[in-house]
Amino acid sequence: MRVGSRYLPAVLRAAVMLATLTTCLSSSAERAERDKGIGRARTDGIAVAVDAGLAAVRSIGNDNVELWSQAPVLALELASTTTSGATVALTLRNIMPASVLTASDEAGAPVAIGAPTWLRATAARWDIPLASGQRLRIALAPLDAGTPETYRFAVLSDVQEALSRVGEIYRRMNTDPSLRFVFNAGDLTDDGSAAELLEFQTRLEELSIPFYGTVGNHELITASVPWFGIFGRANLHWTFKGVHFTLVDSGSALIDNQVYRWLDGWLAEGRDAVHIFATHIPPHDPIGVRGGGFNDRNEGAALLAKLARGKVDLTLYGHIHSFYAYENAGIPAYISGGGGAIPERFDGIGRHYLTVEVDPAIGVRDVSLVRIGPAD
Amino acid sequence: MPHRFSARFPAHLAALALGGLCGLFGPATANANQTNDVTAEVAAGASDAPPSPPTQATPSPLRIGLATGAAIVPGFLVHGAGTFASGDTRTALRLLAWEGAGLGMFLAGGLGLVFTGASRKTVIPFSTLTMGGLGLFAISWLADIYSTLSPAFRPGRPMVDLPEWELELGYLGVAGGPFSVGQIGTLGFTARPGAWRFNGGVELAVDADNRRFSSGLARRFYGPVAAGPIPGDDSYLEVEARGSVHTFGEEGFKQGTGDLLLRGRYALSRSALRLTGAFAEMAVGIGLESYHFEQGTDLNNRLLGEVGFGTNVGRGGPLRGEFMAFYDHRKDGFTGGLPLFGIAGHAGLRGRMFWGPRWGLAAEVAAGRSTTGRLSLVYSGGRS
Repeated sequence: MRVGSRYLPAVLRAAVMLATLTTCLSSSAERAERDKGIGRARTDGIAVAVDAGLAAVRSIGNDNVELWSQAPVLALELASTTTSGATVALTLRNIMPASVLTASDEAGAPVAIGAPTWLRATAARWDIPLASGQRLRIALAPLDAGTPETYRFAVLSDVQEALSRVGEIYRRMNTDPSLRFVFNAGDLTDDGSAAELLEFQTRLEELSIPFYGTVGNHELITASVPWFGIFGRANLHWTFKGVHFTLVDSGSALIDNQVYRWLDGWLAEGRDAVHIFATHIPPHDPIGVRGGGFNDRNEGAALLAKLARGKVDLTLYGHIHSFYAYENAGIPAYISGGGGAIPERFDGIGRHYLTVEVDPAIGVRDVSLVRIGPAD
Repeated sequence: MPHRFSARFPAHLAALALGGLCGLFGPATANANQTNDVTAEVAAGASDAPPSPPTQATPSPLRIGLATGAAIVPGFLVHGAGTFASGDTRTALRLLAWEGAGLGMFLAGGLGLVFTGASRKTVIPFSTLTMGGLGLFAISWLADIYSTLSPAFRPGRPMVDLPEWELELGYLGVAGGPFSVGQIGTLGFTARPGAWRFNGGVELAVDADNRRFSSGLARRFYGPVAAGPIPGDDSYLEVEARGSVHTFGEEGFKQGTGDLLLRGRYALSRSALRLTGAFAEMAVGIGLESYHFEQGTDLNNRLLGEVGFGTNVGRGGPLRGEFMAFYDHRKDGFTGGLPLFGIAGHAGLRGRMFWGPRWGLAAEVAAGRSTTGRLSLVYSGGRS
């Protein structure tokens, strides 16, 4: 039966999740520590260091390195660690279409780089000439990255057990050429295993724009949290066209104290600009009797007070498999958990994603709901 | 003082309040293997009578140890296993029935939450069922352990002689968690005019700009009241309204709450003589809360639930009190909720001990997002 086949695994998964709740889950503090090591790797031939850790090093050899980008604009250092030069094959995945890569040496002089080989719309490979002992600064950005103008992006969270059907959503997104990227507030997968995360990345090949996100509680079910090696940081901040984006790990329904310190800095950076904040678990569930927010409601309030003082313009959450539009601490808030996980019933919403139109000079101009199929 | 307690009140009303499980909480009946005559004495309501000497031999320490071991393994899964090993089949089956009811409620509530995706329209009954089921499961297990140990000691008598008023002065320590507050002074009072109870309190941090004011009003419909007649046990049923204002000055927000609860205690001696001296508590309710920020105010509601298993301490002499393991579904205060993906409140152990008619100590340790410890000096006055 269709209902049984859909819900029985979910019930079993819920049971397994409950059983693992108190066992060997990683702590938010451990995850914050792992964030620090993201984007850095070295071999006997080369070393790579991505600024702010905004890309995961998926593989590295003596003459090749592959990165999974977590931001539209990347800056990194590529260095030779040997006495012999080499041509390094730099593969960048999950990047903005038609991004342009530039390189400069330690003196700031430009270094000529050949045309890339585009593997698909969001992945390309460049051959980087690297002399012995040389350090190159490399920048990657779409041509219009420095132009402050209105643009749109999508918000998709809580795919979980609907991973096999996520292509339907991507195909719908592909029909909207104004979307620049997808922003995700966690729970891409059901159990956060390496196999599921890699399948998620494989399915992203159907999407013509990059996908940037953070972990949800489901990414923590696999105790080793392979997210870090496959997607990268769980806490990150970047800017695109003058708008600041902050993603914070709340997968444990709390935020680590170290992350609060990072957040203080990111809020200060974005205080005079448009700033969009996302995390998986909402600080406060708008349906308070359900209590699907932080472990400590007062901690949720403290976070909201911090965001309000930092003049955040928009907060985006997942975790609750429905759509809610409300305000928290005076900041517009949206919960969108419509990626296909078991939906909240009787809400008339169903599978969906959001589109956000943002103007760097004004703020968030519009947030719209895009339904994928009928309400469950 | 009019009689607030009526012996004609249905004996199982409290059980109804503790989860609608009246049928499971049948009256206590003597068991052929019952070895502790004191339990029968207390259950019969002879709370002021001096303890009688045992007339039958208590089980050997080895047998008590084996029974307690059985209450843990396999007793954690099969509640009543320890009591069964003690030879009290009737009580064992009753505990097993409580466990079954608890699991049934938990499954019904949990499956309801899964199948509805925790819908906003059905979450209150399903969450309440889940919480109550887990609570009943925990109570039946702890009762099984207590039941295996109870022959080894004289059970405590309940504190049914409630004072008309109390003052508390204490300290609350907070460790861990997201806030800088750690050292808090506490002051509280309780007044019990008849069946009513008023209470108020203030908690002032000495190391942070943090303060919490609380107050409550309760009306007891069944059970012991201050300066009233002494009932046979401490079962009660009451309705409570309470509120609080909690200011987090450094963090820049203020929380206000208003709650309404139905709260009850069930003396377990009513179900089994060997459970004399133990009690179960449950409370369910609904609350409103506001968070006030400089940039706006958020209003919300919240589901309230408490469950506990406790024991009386003392034999009617000057040294008397009670201890209780508890779970509280609230995720605020200084403790917050347990780190279980936001689905749980906090849990802990609390107790009160008096060493005379006036002076006592109240203590509590609780674990949630933070770990809190509370110790208060209590002075009680008025007639009791």
